Amino acid sequence: MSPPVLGIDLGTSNSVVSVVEANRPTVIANQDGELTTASCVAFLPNGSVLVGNPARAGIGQRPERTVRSSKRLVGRTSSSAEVQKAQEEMSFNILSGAHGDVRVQIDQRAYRLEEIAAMILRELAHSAASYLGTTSVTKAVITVPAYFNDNQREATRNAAMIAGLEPLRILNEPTAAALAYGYGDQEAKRVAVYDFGGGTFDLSVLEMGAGVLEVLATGGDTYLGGDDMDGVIVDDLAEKILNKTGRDPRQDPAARAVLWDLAETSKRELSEHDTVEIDLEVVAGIPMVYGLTRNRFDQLIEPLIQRSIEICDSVLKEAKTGTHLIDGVVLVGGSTRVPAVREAVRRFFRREPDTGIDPDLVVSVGAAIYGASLNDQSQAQQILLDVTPLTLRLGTVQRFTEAIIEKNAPIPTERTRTFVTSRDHQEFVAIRVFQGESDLQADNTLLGEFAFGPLTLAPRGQVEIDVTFEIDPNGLVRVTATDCQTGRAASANVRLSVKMNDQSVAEASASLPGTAR
Amino acid sequence: MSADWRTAVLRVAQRLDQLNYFQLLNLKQDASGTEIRGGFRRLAQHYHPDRLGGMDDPELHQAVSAIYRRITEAYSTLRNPITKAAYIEGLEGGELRLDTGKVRSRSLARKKAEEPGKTEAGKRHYQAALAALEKGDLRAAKSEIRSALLFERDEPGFQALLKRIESG
Repeated sequence: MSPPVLGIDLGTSNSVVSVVEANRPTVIANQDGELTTASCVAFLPNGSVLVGNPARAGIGQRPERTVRSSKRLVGRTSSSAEVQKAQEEMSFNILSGAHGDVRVQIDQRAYRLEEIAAMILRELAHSAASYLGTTSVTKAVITVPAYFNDNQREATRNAAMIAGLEPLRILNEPTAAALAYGYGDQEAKRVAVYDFGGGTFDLSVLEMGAGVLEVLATGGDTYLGGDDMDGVIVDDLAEKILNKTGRDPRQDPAARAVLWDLAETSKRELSEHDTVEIDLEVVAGIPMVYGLTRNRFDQLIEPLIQRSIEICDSVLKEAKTGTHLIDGVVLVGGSTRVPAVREAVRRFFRREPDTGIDPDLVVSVGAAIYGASLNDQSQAQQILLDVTPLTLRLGTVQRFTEAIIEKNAPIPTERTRTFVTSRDHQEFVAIRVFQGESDLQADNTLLGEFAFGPLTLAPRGQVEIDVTFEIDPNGLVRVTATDCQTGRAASANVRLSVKMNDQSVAEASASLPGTAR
Repeated sequence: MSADWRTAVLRVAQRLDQLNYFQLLNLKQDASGTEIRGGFRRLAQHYHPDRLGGMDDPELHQAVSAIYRRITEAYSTLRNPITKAAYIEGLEGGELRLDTGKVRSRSLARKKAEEPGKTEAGKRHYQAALAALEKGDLRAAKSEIRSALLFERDEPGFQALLKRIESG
């Protein structure tokens, strides 16, 4: 029998690992006996590294040495809005690498985001190995937000390889959640997956029938999540302190880290209670207690919830369906514990959402189920018809782009286009690949660019180049160009400078610092 | 997986370039949206690469992957009324795969209507400037856009292009 495949939900705030044993999915507890592991890495001054809940527990003492919510930065360029925003919010030091990639500086070393993620993945794999009593756990299905672009997916895959895992598949979180509920056993049903996580929001509409799970449409916002809820509470608390003491605690990294922690804890408590007393003395420097009510909290997060509902509306339109045709709503992500969020979902879909499986665990469970199915060669499998969330585009003249593969096209897929040279004796042709929904290059994400050549020398218009764009089952993009005259092909995994090549993955894997346990 | 199935898959992969999208999805040309989707799902169940799991058979993997990619190409083309119409037009001229160039020229034609300029002469010089720019002939581009501005001095699109050309 082949060794089991892990199902890993690598979350913004928390991560979870599951495995299928004897046809039953099990969520694996970490060494502290907890089912969720904080996506936190702390670098102690003595050189040792803490990963998970112990790292998060110490964030107040060493904010600038604790990396949290790093998923928000993964696969992005240092000039992106998200990274700029994180630089203001996060207490750890964010740097720009030589090629616009994002690094986290701790002492003398600048870590890649892939390395931070790899430390978390390795911790989860370690928990799984001790639980299963084996060291041969190397394969994993790792989930990402459906809305992740190629850069972010590739970074996640590289993180797995740095951690010594074989990423069998990069799976979309909502798809995994739907698999966990197993609607596929019954007659065809249309399901909406409302995934409000720590850092991202996604809405996906799926149709599940016997043996087939088809994603009809997916859409989301990688800038909208539970962290934003914490952020509005942080601002609220900071204003209160500013009014009373004349000092803005957000200016001080340690105070800011404590505020974030207080905000997160208060948010959780407000899911159970109508009001929470927050002791602000540590931050304010004077005795100060603030009572945050659920009403006030609901008011603060109303714009965030509204934004998620707008996305629901547009994705339903995209799927050519309406709320009256939806047979079930699945809630995923910790933010769906917030009562105001549940209420908004209930109102919009006009039905009670399904909450049978813990929203923090459901994605990992689904990933494990899919992993087991990929590993199994005998049984008739659940076929997954997933789609690409973003339009794949080719850069053209005048800073425009041309759509090659439309968003929500089923994957894996490919398209070939033929181009002709535009200059006499043109030697090279530049191929720039983007993802996004705008005709303008600047409004899309650049995935990569490469020069193809040398071409057959001929007058312009005489040389034809076939360019094939592929999206694989992981949502990863690959581009191949062929000179039709010579038949010579060059294939390039479109690789943006922020992406790691195989050699740097291997080097990072070899030099990944050990974790203290 | 049976040997028969393997043989059948390899045969389909070999014939892939002789099938049009309708034949591939086993549909009539007047198939409705629901029928197109049904056709895709039936075939997807049959040819989805995940069905092979970890099977060690590169030839079969490659064949299934090629078929599945073509199926998704066919489905994506036929489910969209615009690309479907373009495909049927091309099919009548014997093109079995969508000539994307045609769709492109259509969408470009649509975009042209939104391009700057009100007078025929202004628009013509603007287009000539763009064409010159594409060829890398800055001097000709500059001269053309200046001519365009003679006809429409205040057209912001023309002014923007001149500025771009002058700034190199």
